[in-house]
Amino acid sequence: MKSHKLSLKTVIAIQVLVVVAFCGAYTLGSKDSQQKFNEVFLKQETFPEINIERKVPLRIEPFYDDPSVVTDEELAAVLKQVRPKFPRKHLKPNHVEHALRTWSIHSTFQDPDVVSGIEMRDFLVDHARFLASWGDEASPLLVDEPAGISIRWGSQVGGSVHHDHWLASLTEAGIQLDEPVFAPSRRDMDVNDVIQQSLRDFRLDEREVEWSAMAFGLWIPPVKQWKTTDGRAVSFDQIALRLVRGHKRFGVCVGTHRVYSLMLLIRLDDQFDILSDKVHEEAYAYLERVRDLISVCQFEDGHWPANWMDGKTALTDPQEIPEYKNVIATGHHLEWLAIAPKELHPPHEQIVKAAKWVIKNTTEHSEAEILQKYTFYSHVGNALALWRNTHAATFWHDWQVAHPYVPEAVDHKDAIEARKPAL
Amino acid sequence: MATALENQNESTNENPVEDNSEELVLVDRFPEALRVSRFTFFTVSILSLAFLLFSSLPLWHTDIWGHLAYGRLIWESGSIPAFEPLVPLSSGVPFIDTAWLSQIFGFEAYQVFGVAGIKFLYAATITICMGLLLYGVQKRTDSYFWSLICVSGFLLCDWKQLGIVRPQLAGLLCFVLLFTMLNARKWRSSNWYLIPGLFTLWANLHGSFPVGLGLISCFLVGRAIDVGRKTGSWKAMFGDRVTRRYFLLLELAAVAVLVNPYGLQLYSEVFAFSSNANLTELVEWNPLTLRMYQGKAAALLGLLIVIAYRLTPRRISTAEVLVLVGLGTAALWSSRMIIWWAPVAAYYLAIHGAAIWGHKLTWLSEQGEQDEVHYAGKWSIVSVGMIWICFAISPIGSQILHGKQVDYKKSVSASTPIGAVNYLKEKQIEGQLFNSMELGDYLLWDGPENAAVFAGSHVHLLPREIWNHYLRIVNLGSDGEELLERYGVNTIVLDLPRRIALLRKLERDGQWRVGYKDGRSVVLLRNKPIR
Repeated sequence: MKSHKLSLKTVIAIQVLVVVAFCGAYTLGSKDSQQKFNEVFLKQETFPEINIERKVPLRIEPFYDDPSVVTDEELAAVLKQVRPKFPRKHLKPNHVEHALRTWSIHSTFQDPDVVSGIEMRDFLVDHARFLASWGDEASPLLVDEPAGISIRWGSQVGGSVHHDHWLASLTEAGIQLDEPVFAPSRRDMDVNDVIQQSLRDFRLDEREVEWSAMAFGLWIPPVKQWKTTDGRAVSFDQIALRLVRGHKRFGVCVGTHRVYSLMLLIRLDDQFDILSDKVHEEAYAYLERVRDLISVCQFEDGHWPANWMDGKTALTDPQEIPEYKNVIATGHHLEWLAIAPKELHPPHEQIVKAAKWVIKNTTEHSEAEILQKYTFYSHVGNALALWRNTHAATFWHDWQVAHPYVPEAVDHKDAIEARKPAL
Repeated sequence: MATALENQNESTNENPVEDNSEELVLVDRFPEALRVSRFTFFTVSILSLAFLLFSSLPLWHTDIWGHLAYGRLIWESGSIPAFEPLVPLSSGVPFIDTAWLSQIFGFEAYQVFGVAGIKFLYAATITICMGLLLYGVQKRTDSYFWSLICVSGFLLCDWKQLGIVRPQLAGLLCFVLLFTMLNARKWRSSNWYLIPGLFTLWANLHGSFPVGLGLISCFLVGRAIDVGRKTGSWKAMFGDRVTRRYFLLLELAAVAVLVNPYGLQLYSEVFAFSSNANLTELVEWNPLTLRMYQGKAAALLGLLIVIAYRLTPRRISTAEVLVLVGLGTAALWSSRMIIWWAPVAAYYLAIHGAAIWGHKLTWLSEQGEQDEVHYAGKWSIVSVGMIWICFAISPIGSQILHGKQVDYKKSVSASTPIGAVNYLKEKQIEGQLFNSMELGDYLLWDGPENAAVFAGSHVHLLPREIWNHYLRIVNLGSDGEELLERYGVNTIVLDLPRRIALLRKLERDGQWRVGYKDGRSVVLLRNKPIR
């Protein structure tokens, strides 16, 4: 066959075809396709963002106001123990986060040694406050990112210990979406930027997803799926399945935060339909198994052991467990049970017994001892407040009106703010 | 053709009557157009035997089963899933299926002919590649011997790569076909349609089409340089008809690739693919070394090419240097790329070898051979006979002609976990498994419906953490057992003897017991299942 010389028209026509084909393919392609192209060939980073339609986070209201579980006096005594009486120097973000979660940003205290909610919030969201506490002895807690702010977490000094705990705690503390967040070199960011960064950075298979699950659940519904920086689509279904995955002993605080986060997602699902029916059922079944396990492993004195997931074996073949771990287990179980429907409860007397044990344990310790294990005891305060269908800040505010702070009452026996309850 | 006939019917009989009658008897009445030479017969024999050989090889236990599983899913659902559909641990990971058409072809072949259908596709693909190379060298050199050298070099170097049945073979076929078309002595107008058409097919069969675009680019740049050097003029370089042809062909091929379910995104995907961090732990994506069989084979082939280039009287085009160096560098970077370098290297070795042979050893010149070429009907008949025999005794031939089903166990590699999978199904094992990556594909294909495979050969679809955890477990990491608990794994499927150390470690731990074991694989069950 003869080879014909190509005419100029043909050459031009092919050039037009090429341009039209590639431009058309780009413009008609999906957003994902365009982003991927920009990323691979133009080296442009993309920062997916979702629209959050609320200014304040959702709140999961407790179901019960049960004085048989905890009386006002008992609650006051426990809350007094878990007040955030932190030294201002070297303020630990992890402690502040736990305190905020229990006390919220609305908390105020007559005792000037106790850090108020606003003060705690500002420490977490303003690098200048962090700097005032730590100087150059710790790296900044807030980390500038190209399109947001991330939180330095891990075991290093002055860091937030758990991934997304900063966000989850401030969320439960009631921070607003447009609350400014001042990073070391950026002053134009707010909480929304932290949330977006966190959504992008989320890794479904990282070690702990409990806090991320809570924070995202309280902010983004009815949105139930988003994309991370690596292009993976993540949904609440996947997070719920991730939370039920594996042995129950794994997870923050002897696996109890997995349970709390699951309960929270189920409650949110009732309201916003963020889970598929199948996953809802699976998550609910998981909680039923937890209920069954804690129903058979409670000790005579009322505490649930840290190895609660062993069920009856934990009782028949008891292990030597440090007391604070049992406080963790008992306090945390009371916490999720406060927002769980009755069908997921162990017998009511078990709940009462557990509450009485943890109240006694908490009030028997000195403030210094509590401060050492603050993160665990803070949950006790929160759990018991939930059982009275209130919030620590609200309750304490009212309590202080009737029981004002007496500066000279140094010993807690003399302090009339909250006397030790008789159990 | 006439010469051949005369030679064939040559007679020394002096009796004209007898001579005439013999002539009548011996005259080749086979239609002239259907007569072939004995060289064609030998070529056909080689290819038929190669087809038989590759048909008889057991199917390698990785890759193919995973692709068939994807093919089944696409066929049954009528669409390509947007996210990885088979491995639950990869949920939400975007799934750009660059081999969807191969997977459907494969699945359909399996549906109709069972494992024999896959074997047929596999053997036919390699045989066609060999045929194209034989044809290409034969056309260029008129040398049967050097054609065989070319095919031998290709098989020697690519043997390991060819052992794995996967869509990449379809890509190889497209590549060899393109290479043959570009190297043809004469340019055909139909190439303007055929080559873009080939690219459209290629882009849907396998994600290796950029190699083809690279090949055309090498021809384009090489030609431009040659013209520039020859004329010393830039204008001539750009005005050259052949250079322009390659340029336009490259453009048309690039446009043709866009005809796929993903459009432009296919480009992004295949260019980003090799930078996937998970691939760095796979041997075949590591650099080529002399410790590897294919590294030694490549070194030998490379050495022979260097010698051939030193001695060849034939002009060495810049294009061939670019192709050899380009693909060679790619192969050194990632050993898997050797599959593209081998046919090209073997081809150029053969044509330069033939040139040296013809130039230095004129007394053994192939020219003489050409004079002796006979075209005769008998060669046509025996060629067809050869094809028929080899087809008839191949697995697919046996099935079609004799209704004889192939022995499934013998048709798959010894490492295929048939017994283990049967055990899992019999015991109705559910939930998250942990499995050797090499067995993942077969588990996806034939494993119990409610069992979740941990990892298959598509490791680029696994989230980074999952892949790291997989490696820590199989490499006997100290936190292996904890990781298994974190994933809630109650059943482990391992290939033997490769994972014998892991098997022993798990047995020693006391938390596992052997549920099933044969020479190929083992199934371990957790003594106290995680619920």
